[in-house]
Amino acid sequence: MRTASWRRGGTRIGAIVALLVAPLVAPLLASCAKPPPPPAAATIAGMPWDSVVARARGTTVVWRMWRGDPSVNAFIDRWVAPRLLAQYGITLQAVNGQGNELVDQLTVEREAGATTGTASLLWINGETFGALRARSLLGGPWSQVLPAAELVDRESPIVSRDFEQDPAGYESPWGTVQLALIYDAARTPNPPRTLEDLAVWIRAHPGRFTHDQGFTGITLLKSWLYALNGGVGTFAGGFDSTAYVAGRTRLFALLDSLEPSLWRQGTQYPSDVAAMHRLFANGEIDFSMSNNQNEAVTKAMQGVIPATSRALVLRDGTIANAHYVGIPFNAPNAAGAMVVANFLLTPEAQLEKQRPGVWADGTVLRLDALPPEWRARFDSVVNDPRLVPADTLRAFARPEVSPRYHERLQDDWRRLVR
Amino acid sequence: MPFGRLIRAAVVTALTLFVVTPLAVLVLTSLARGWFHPALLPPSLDVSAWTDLVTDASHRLALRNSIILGIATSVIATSLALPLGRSAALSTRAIRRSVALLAFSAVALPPVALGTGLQLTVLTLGLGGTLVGVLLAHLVPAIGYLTLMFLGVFTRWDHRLDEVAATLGAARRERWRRVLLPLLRRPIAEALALGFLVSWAQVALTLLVGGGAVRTLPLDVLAMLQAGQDQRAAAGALALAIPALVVLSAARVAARNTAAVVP
Amino acid sequence: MSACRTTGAGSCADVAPRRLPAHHPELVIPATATASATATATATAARSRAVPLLLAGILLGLPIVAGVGYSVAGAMGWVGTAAPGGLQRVLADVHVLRAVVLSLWIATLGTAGATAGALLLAVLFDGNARLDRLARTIGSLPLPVPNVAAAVAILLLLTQSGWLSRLAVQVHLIASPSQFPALVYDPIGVGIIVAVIWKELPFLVLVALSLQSLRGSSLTAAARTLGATRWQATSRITLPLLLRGMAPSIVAVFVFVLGSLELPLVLAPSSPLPLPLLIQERRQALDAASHGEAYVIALIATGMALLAAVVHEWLRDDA
Repeated sequence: MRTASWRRGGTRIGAIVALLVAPLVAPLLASCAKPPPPPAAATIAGMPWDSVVARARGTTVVWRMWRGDPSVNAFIDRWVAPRLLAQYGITLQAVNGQGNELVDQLTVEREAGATTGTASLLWINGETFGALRARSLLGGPWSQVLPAAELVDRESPIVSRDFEQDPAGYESPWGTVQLALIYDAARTPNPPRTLEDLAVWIRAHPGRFTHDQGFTGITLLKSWLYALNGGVGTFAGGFDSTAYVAGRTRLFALLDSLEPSLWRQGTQYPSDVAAMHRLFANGEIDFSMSNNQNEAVTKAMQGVIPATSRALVLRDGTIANAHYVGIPFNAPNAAGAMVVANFLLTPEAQLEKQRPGVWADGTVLRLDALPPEWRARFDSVVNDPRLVPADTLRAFARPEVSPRYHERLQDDWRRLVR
Repeated sequence: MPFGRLIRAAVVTALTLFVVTPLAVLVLTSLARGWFHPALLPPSLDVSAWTDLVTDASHRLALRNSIILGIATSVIATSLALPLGRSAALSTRAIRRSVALLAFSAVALPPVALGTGLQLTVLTLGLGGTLVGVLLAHLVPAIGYLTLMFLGVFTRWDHRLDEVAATLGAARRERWRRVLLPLLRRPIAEALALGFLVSWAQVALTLLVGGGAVRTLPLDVLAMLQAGQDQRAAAGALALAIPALVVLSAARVAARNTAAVVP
Repeated sequence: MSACRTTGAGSCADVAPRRLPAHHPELVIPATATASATATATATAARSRAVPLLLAGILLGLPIVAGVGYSVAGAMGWVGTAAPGGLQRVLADVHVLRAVVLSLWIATLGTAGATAGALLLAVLFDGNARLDRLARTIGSLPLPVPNVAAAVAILLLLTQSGWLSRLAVQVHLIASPSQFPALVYDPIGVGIIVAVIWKELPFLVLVALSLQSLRGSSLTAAARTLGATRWQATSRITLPLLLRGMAPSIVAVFVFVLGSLELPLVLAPSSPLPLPLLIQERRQALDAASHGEAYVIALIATGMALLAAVVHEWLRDDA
């Protein structure tokens, strides 16, 4: 027989639980009293540089970036961060976050009224930058006040325009990359070097070629879009729907004709570049690709792909673009972020980043504006025999066009081809 | 019957192969650098993935976050689910059914759907991208599982022992200390282990509510896989699996009841 | 006895009853104790009845409402950047239908496979011999392994250049990776189904075994004395009883697999995309139309889960 003591016990237990829950709830209620928002990037940019550096000393900067590559992580964690601490007293915390994730998160933060976010610096480019700007999620303008900004190669169409968008001081350039295919010199001693030859090769070797569904795969398709439609000039100068649809028709016609010869007969596509490297390294396909032309070298050094892997830049042109850093609208430490962005532009940092053993990421600096000994150092790094020669890269580089092309192509590819 | 014995032996062998082979491949991959098709065994053994797991600052942070979240989730969820399960078990059938339904829904809802709403809630509370925010998200399925568990425990509970102790004059606190808690040792141990594992293995909620800013070990494993670092991903996956095994075995050992029949 | 789920869905209400330690004797409850207690019973009854509901409401109900509510609000365009009209677009979108079908297919086959395996093990190894305990121990190894780890392991094992494929090459069954069947990134999700069985079989075995110890062997023993063969006793009594007792757990496994993100994230094909991945993709797309669709699809998935929750509760018979 259940006695009333149990019912009383129920209420007592309820009280005990309330006591347990209260310490959990109290800090939540306390956090409802929000502190004033931190100064915006534009405000900090108005101050003299010395005071910005002084403001940043002793602070922490949270940098949201892609943390998927151990080489990049090692460069940031073991080279950049200690120097920032030693020279500027800034503690750098690199955390994961890129692309759509960032836009998503910042949009939700703005909706929730979070005037102080967690990240002060973001690693962005292209359509991410476009989306953030369109929704006013970036702070600025600020990049024009960085002392090291004088050394940036403003004449390069790759750096001065981010997917045809004017950074306008809302993002600061950091590095450049160019799309390249990766092949195994041992397996494929004579790879095709033009799109036409590649199409012939694909049909001759069914099931040995594919591209991924992510950013890199769509970038490859975009470079084919340019090549099939009279070059990048057809698509320059903003988004033109007619030009796009006409171009896309030709591209999809080519893809349709190639489909039976693709890996898995074109019914499945790898989800990202990592899956491509895995297929390539294990001999399921004969070509991988990367947005960074030197990934053939760095990944071989990491043991992810065979040591005989080489990079291939198609003669029809491949897309080169720059990547940047930006400051979100609710950055808690805009001053620190600016000091970090400036440090990343110093010749010292740009050189280290470009070393084949480190990251092999291209520089955004104007080399002829540098003092001779820096120029010599850069030359020796750029001319490393393992990397794709600089003039080859330059000859076949094509700039990015409006991000709308990328969005539409990705969308249409997903809905119509995949 | 020899035929029956043959079948049993065959099934055990097949079971062992099925269970052990994936784990063995994980171990081999975690120690292999440049191990490509069609090599059956790694070309050489390389422990760099394992040493990196321990020395890399961001991995250590992820591990620390996972441990903190796991322990916090297990303790808080157990403390909340036990009274909830008990008071529901003592109530009417309708209330028991409703609580069970709610608890199961918390567990059954796809985390992608649940996480979206929790993300907004956590951001509104100013906890976006923080460990506490992710903890709150982990607590939802944890409390769900544990409530169901305790509901079952207390539905079959024999309350006479406590009543007898009451009639013999034992005070409330003493009854808890000397009668209820010792009998609850095993369910509590299991609840703590279960709560820990729910948080330890969580991916979707951490991703959505943490917004990528809160790193845990399973997120790191996924990131390494998506970066093509199979060797590190395998090491991370094993680092994820082994403590889980330890926690579960420890819970069973800690509360071993000599009357138990099933291991 | 820990018949409880550790890292997935589970009906923990189906644990075996707590056995009283043998040394507590049964005592007779004096009548006086109960008489005095009933007076205060009704007074505190109503208040105490509210306690569990209130607690459950705060701890469980609130987050669920928040989660589901935001999806509804997002779908209607009240919050977020979603464009209206998502429902029509989603219902007309063949990719969504294929995603639902694929997810249901994977969940069904995975659960069925795990159930079949669990029944087999429970029937074959319910004794106390060394072999039985060995089988039960090995069978419970995958239980605590997190889904992510299991997915990575199955990936490395089953891709066309995975370990099984390399074994096949070494024994001269095939010559190149493309000759190995496509078990991962395939449109019927074989790899995911194998991973589901690998992860969920231990849990269902545990549930089955605890049910067996609970129900005892009296029924089958009686059947045997009445002349039934072992196979008849098993197929007509043990299996149906086990299935009936496992029903809530089976539903739990099904709905958990349906909504789980980790396995498809690692093993799924690109076309069709399983439901959780489709939701993620549309959610993270940069155009408003996709956002709205993501919320609608999330609501569809939520609806299926809630339906399963109701079925689960209906099957649970110990309330």
